[in-house]
Amino acid sequence: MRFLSVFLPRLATDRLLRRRRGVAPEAFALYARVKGAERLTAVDARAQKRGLAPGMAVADARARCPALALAEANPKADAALVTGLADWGRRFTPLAAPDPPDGLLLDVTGAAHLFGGEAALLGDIESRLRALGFTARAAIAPGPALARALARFSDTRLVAAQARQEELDRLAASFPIDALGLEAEALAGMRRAGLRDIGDLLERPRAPLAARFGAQALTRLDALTCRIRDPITPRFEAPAFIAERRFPDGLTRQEDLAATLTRLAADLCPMLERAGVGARRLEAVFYRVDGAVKRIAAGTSRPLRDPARLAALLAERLSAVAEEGLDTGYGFDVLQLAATEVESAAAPQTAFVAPPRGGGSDEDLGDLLDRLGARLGLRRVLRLHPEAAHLPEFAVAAVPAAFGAPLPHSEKCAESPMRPLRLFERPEPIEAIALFPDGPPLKFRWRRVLREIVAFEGPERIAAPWWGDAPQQFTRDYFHAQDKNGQLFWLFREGLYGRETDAPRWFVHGLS
Amino acid sequence: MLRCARNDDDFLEPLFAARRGGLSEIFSARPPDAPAAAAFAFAMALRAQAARGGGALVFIIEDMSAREFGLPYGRGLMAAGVDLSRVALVRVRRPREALWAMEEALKSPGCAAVVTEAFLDARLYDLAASRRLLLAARRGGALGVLAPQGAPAGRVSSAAELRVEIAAKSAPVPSSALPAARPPLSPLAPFLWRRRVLKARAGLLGAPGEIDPAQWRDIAFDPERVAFRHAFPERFPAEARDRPPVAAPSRRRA
Repeated sequence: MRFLSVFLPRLATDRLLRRRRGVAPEAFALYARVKGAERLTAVDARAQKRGLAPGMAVADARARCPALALAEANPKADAALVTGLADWGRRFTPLAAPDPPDGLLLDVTGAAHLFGGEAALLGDIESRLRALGFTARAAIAPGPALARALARFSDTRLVAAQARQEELDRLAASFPIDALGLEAEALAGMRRAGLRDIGDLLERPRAPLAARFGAQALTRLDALTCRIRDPITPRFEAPAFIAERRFPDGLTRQEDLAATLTRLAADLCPMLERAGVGARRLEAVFYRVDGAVKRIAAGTSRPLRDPARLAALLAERLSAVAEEGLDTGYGFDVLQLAATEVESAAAPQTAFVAPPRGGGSDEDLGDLLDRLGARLGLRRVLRLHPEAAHLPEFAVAAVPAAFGAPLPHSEKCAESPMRPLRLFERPEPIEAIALFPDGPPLKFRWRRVLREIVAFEGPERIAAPWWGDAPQQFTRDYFHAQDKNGQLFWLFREGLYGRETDAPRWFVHGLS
Repeated sequence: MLRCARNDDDFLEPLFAARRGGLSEIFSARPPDAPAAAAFAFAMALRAQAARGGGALVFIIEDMSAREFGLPYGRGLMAAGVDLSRVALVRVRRPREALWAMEEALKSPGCAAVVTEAFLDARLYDLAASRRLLLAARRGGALGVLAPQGAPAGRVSSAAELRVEIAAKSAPVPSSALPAARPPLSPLAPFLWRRRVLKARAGLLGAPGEIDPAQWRDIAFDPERVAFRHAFPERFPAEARDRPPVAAPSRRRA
């Protein structure tokens, strides 16, 4: 196992300095209010040279360096930046994790040779981050904790994979106890006991250490010396089906991006076919030269592994994104296409199945719905599933087409009572006049217009579900009513007069 | 010859000739008639599906329309004989998206009919836009039914082949003042309309001049037989067999 850790010591100040390229101030620091006093939280390289350090009071820092530029610390933005950089790190390996507050962890097992070896990979990452405006140190080790400690506390950048345990122990022994990454109290306790570095801990017998500082300390110690396997939590699970293309120069034109997606789809489909699955959800990731990462996702209504169809879907999504403005900047140099969700799909049977009458097949409809969903959003392309629920609003579920097609028409569902053609998403309250409190409506006012009912049908009584956990629901009496102009309404009165409520309320639920 | 309309005179028949493809506009006579116009558009879609012998129905609804008049209700559609597994409901945010989605759906070979409800205005929906839709419908062989809301009929110039204005058929007011005397609903209630044809492409619905844009007629849709027919609420004379087809000139003068 090989892990790469990146340490960004000046992340907070770099975040702001990156914006003003070239015109860096004399000295720059961030401050925050701690218990009523303004104190520095991060300083840049020049400020550090002048003797400023985090924790110093702002007034003292100003006195020492009058030209100091200050900005308020923003831990949230820092955390977002670390997450964004972890996304950026996925250009090297799919297993990249943020290591808050100021680092990244990458699992580069078996990936380093793609970048010319581990030493070259370290150099590549550091120079790329430097070009993006970050101060960075990277290190590779057989365990993540060791790599993390190397990047932060050591000059060694690379530990060989076949290093023996004694060598690792010797290397770790020189780190200060901060490398364990424990809470401040535990570390202070260790210092009080005279333990300064990892070597002190390694020399001591383990049982008293565990008794005094907790089992956590020993776990960390074992992780640091690679005695236990300590996995990282990548920001995204690595998809099993992924295709990738890299370009020496960034792509900026939308046609180039679409053409690349087509080729990526052609690369992806054989993988899907070998595994006997089809893609239900696709994600294309664009890595911009300057570090930004854009993603577009598309869902399909059925398992799909036809390159042309996949490509058409992505092209649709791409042009939808481009309409809103795909900021190409200096161009995208790495493009990835992954099937993030797959479903098993049998090989298509061709030639023996006659196309259904009318020409249109389910395939065609599925294609159409995928294309519409890619552009409009998956939640806006719906299919209607009849449900066995007796409340009218739940009798039909509108399910996004990407989540499966409804079952074919069944006769049992067809014999439903008279229902309106249109239903409001939520019933609209009206004022109705009825001759009796539990009688049919005579007149009602809906949207400020008084309607006089000339014909009606009803009531149809629909009781509230007693098995649910909403005892406040009332029985409804539904009426079909027609007013003088011929408009048809589906009204209901909520609550049985005298039994459930003394003031039943009326609603319009549908029109037809 | 005494021309008497047959009871199942489907005046729209030429529109549904097999896999022809076309574009129709259904306007509501007054704003409150919009649900009736939409119901007529559903009926046309059903008829087109039957004529084609299959294929999917796609309903495209702008959010604004859904707020005003609600969404198509699955149970109501089922009662009208729609197979829900062949129905897709597409919700769009803006009229521009509605037109785009309609064009895509019309192009698809899987669709029998596409019904779009959106608030369109003349800047967006013009001759070019409607021509695009018509060509897409011709290519895919689907019937496009556009129910523009909020647009006064006749103000829009478009390439649509048929433009019909629909009003809800008003119910007969009971003579007695007693509320208890209110009659039950007509069984065909959601499928009864008054229509007038504002525009029909030459040759589509008979010879030019045969259609009187000012004439309102009652029309009904029979969901069981999936056919349009003229509705005759009032009595009409039975076809007389014992009379000469044309009255004698002398009698006519008298």
